[in-house]
Amino acid sequence: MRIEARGLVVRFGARAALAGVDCDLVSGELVGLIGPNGAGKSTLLRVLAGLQRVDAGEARYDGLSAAELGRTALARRVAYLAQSGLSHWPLRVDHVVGLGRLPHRRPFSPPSAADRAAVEAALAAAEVVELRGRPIGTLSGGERARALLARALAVEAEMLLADEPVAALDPLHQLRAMTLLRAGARNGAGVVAVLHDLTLATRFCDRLIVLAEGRVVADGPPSALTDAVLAEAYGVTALRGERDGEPFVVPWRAAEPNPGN
Amino acid sequence: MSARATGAGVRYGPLVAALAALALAVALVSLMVGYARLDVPAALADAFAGRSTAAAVVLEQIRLPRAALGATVGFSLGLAGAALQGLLRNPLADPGVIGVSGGAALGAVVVFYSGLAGAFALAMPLGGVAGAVVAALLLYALVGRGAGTMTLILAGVTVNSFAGALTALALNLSPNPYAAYEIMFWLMGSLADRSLPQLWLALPLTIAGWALLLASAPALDALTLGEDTAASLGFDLGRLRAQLVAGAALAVGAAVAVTGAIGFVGLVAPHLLRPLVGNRPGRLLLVSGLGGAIILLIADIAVRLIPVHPELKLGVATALIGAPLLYSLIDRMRKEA
Amino acid sequence: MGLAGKRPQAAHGSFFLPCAAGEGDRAKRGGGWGALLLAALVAIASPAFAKPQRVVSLNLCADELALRLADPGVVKSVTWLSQDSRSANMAAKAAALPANDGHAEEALAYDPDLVLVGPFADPASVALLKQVGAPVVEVGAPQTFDGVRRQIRDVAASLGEPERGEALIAELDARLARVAVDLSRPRLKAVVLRPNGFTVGPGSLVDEILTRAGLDNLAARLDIAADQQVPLEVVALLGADLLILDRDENGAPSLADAALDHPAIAALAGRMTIVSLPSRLWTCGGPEVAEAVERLAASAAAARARRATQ
Repeated sequence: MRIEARGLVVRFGARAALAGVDCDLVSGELVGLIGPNGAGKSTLLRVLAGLQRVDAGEARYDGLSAAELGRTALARRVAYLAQSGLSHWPLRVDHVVGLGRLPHRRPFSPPSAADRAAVEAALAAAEVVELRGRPIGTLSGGERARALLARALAVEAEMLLADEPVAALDPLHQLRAMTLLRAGARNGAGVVAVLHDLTLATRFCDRLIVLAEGRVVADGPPSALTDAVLAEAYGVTALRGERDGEPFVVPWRAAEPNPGN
Repeated sequence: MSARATGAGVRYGPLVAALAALALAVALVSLMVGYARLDVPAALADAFAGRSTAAAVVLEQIRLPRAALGATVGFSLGLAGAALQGLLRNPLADPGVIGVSGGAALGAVVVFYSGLAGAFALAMPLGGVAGAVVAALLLYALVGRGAGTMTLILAGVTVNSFAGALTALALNLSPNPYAAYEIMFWLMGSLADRSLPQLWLALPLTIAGWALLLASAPALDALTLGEDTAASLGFDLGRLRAQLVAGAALAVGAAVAVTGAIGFVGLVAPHLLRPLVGNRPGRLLLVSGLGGAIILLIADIAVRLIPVHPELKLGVATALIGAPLLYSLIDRMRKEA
Repeated sequence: MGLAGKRPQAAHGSFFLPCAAGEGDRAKRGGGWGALLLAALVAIASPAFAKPQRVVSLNLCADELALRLADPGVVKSVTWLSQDSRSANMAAKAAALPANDGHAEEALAYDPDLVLVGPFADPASVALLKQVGAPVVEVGAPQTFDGVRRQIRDVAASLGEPERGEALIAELDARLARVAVDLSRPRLKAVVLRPNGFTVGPGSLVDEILTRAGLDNLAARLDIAADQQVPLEVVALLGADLLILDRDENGAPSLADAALDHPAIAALAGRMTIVSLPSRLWTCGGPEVAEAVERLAASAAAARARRATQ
């Protein structure tokens, strides 16, 4: 699937959350969506998922608008993982993951073999198999995040839009989740993940889109995250390095304000 | 998907069958309970043979509608309660607590005491439905989306107070001297001496309401994870809200027009049965409906057995169970917060 | 039965209408007010007493008696309830007069020399009237035929028309005498159904009307609780020959009135004779009770004829 967005503008009252954003997303890539708080990352993701109305611009899915594509087709082909990781009722983990199959299931018919297989695969991929029978309310924050990620994986969508999927996870599970997402991209899915950890972003993503104040500041491979971009978007300087051929980027200090800007 | 009993509740099919059987059994007991000694088998025989003996008349015209309405209204209240709790993601939602029943009572009162119902029989349940819709819309305007428990309860209190006051006003304005004293019926409800024509009038609207509510099961499941996730799973939330409001208004409105506002059934039934369906809101709908039918039928049997004259209003019996439950629910939620 | 623990029956007991079909305490009240009446009569039975010329009636039952007994033009105002022919017996005459809402203050506007009030008159209002020198006479709700006769006499005396009172009583007695009751045969069993499922117990005026019409009030045999509300099931299974529906015909709907339209009653029409009896005939315990007896006796005869053919 290819998602093309042009000139996206979203306003909340007087404030513009997105002030004209263009981006192209294609299956087979793991894209990191990064930027400071309030930059519009969540808003952009919600627009791409078809959850947020735009004041200007549009997004097209393989050339079709969301309305032309249809609600069900969009739901099957684009999965969305919300930032808030809540479950209002204490469902079992496997039932929560099973909710990801709703776009594929006919209402009131029992789950098919394909549905069951997708759930099993998702449980295994997110490493929550041993938690399958537990009510989700009894899980730790990290376990719950993985269970909800499994729910998004169960959709078996062509494009996964994940809002801070690893923020609550411990380092081991962060690494595993990022590895999983990259493997998914290699398998042909498209993944867009909002990330706060710059090292994870530069290590695992094929591409980075840097947002600041509702605009795209940089869009390209991880090497596009230059010091200038870091200073402009985040207002920080970073320590950079490399180990075994993989980069790390560690925010180090607040950037000096540039007298020329 | 695993069918292990722990945490997932019991198997769904057998649960529904067991509840349906229990509801039927309690309904049959309801047929046998009354103020006069009635030889039920003989009356049944007379009724089937077409002999209109006094016993057959009592069975057919008095006890049968009472039992049938008890089951129907109880089902509507239990189902609507489960649906509203799924929509509002709050275990305290109940048609009575949030004011939908109160609005329905007002609508029915206006239609009945103005004489409209005399001219056009279907006006009565329609009036109840209209009142329920207005109350639900008012509640939604107050609560907005994703409002917390406190706001929900306060909004319900507001709607109930307003509807109750207007109901009392309407009754006092009626030139009939009995009207002002009938407020207890409308606000607390009763199944006493309801008739077959009332059942037939309410049934079409009620069944339409049931259909709308039961059809929302997958959407309510998806709503467990919040509005954004549900929308991303392909559900139209605006349409869902309209469907649930319409369904609840139809089912509850038509019921209240016949029996008055009976509270707490929509609170107790889902609460008791939720663990048995693994907390899944979609599966809870049908189960809660059946549970509501059972609860209301038992309450109706109880008010006939308790030797109090005049007959205790049903809302009293359900409130005696439901209000302490509401208290404990609020207390628990407060502690968890 | 005494006053203690007795709740008022649903609805009536408002300013105009006497509490209907009560027993025990009603009789007690009748007795108490009878004494007051006597005192009032003694007070006004002086040689200087002239017939009242400006009479205001604040009670439905008083309206009726005043309109029957007084000269035209003497009664200055009656309650609005009397002007509705569904619930009042003298509606035609009443319609010609200004209506009042039963408040003492309204009576004052006519500078009355006699004010007739009902049994639940507000004591403060009564005191107000006495203060301005208007004689107040209370009209009760008699529970026996003797009580009916006594009431007619008392009101006639207060209006200064004792002969008319006697004439009215004579007419009542004549009509009652004309009602033919065949006491050689067993009495037909009857039960009265009132709004809200109430019936009439022994010792009430309707009970006496039933007896006078040759009927046997089954409610007297039932072990009913003090408030005399009978479940519809019980009524259906009583095996009565005659079911008397006592309707308040005031036009506006209520659940209490709708109870008399229950389909079970229509379904029972095959097994018993059903007759409607408008409440206005007996609510006030006035001369119209004769018509109630006449109608019931006719219904009883019809029921007997019907039973013979079955």
